[in-house]
Amino acid sequence: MEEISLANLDTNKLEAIAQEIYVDLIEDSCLGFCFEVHRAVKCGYFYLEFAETGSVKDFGIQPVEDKGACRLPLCSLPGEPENGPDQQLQRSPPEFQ
Amino acid sequence: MNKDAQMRAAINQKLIETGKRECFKELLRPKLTECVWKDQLKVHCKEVIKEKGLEHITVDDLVAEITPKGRALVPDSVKKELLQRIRTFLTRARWLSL
Repeated sequence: MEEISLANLDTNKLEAIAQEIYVDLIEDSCLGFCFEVHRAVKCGYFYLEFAETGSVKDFGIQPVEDKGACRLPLCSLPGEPENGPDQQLQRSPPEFQ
Repeated sequence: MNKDAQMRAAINQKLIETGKRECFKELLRPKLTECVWKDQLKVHCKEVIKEKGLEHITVDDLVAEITPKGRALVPDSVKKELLQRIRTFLTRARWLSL
């Protein structure tokens, strides 16, 4: 079995190997981050998790028009056609305006 | 495979076998978070996605744009510390066998 000794490597070669390992680790971190971002984009939560400032308009997405009270059937409580859920919940969140 | 390539392959194998590679990654992750590296990359990501379009962005686009920036944004202190630990690993792992 052939043995390879690092002790025989000169300092420059050892340093070059250390640098390669370092670059590899950093690129691994970058790649992981890219996958996180791509997943966030494709699953539709990029602007929630990654874009802390600005709004959906920054990405060319038209904000949902705020039409006031929600008219979805589930939002109208039975026996109380006039009263929906809490008024605050009926309005679109600021990021959609 | 020449001797240099053999050496590199053997070192990489040792890094993985000993769990040191994972160890270095776990060390790096919180350091990059606390030094706002991730936050800076998020800002850059936003610009890239605005340019390419949310619907059209691909992994390749992100990797091509983000990786060089990510490499450049690593603070010197983090780089120094990680390199030192790698050098320590290399000097301790003096004998490798094939």
